[in-house]
Amino acid sequence: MPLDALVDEPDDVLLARAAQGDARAAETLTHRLTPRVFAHASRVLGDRAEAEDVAQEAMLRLWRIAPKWRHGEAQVTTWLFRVTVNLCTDRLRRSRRNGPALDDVPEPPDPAPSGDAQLMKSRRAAALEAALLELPERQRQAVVLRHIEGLSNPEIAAAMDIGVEAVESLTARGKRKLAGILGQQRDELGFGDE
Amino acid sequence: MSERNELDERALGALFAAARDVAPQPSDALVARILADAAAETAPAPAPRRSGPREWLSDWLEAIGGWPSAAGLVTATAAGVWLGLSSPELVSPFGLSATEFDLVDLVPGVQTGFGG
Repeated sequence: MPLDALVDEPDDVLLARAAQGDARAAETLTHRLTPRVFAHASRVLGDRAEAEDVAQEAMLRLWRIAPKWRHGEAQVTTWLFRVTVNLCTDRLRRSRRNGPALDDVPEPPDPAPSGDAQLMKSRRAAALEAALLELPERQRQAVVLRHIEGLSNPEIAAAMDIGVEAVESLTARGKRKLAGILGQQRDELGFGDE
Repeated sequence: MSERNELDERALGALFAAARDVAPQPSDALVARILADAAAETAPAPAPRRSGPREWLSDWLEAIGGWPSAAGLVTATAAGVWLGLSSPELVSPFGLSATEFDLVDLVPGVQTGFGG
């Protein structure tokens, strides 16, 4: 089957094929899932090298469970985010910090030239990621999963092993805190006139 | 921190959208490592199975426990064939015939008491 045809296959079908040694299915799944896992770990950990380690470990666990994967029992992405959330939590607890040291927080880029939408977008993304690192770890993971990765509340509940109400509480408190932190950069982020 | 300084829902939504559009991307080296893990952890696709006499013999030998078991099986079979073809006259001198037997009283002086 050509690689293009695999792009439309669901995750669990690709995983089953990968488990049987289909390298193209594994490649398709890698390109589909790795960016999401890496981006989540990067935003939660605030450290690119650690995020790469987490992404590789999460994907390794996926390959190992592939032969035993029961079709239709769980979503591959939910399972993978659950592993990623736990790996991030472990790393943060091991380093005994809820956020990175101040030196590790990425500096927001210089103000974008007016009218340059792409630079403003980069600036906003960097400011948000820096603000996320100021949230408690559980709030940070829930907000990233809900508002950036776009998972539903039940999916987040499964990924974080908590109830849906707890997810709602974590995301609401996280957003309120973000609104306060980022409100101080209102002008730089292009919201000065609102 | 005053209410005025908090971003509203719409502004936060714009920030989340920007983060989605400018997501951290995995390096090519990371992708290569993950693909190498996939190759190492997942079994290769099974090759089409050959089905010739040599493969049949190999499977049969494996099923019965290898060449020593095969030798024992052949010996037992040959012995059975030989016995089957042999006449009773050849067998009986070795005491293998089941058609004749003698009763021997090993202790003649002892009465069993059965039947008075």
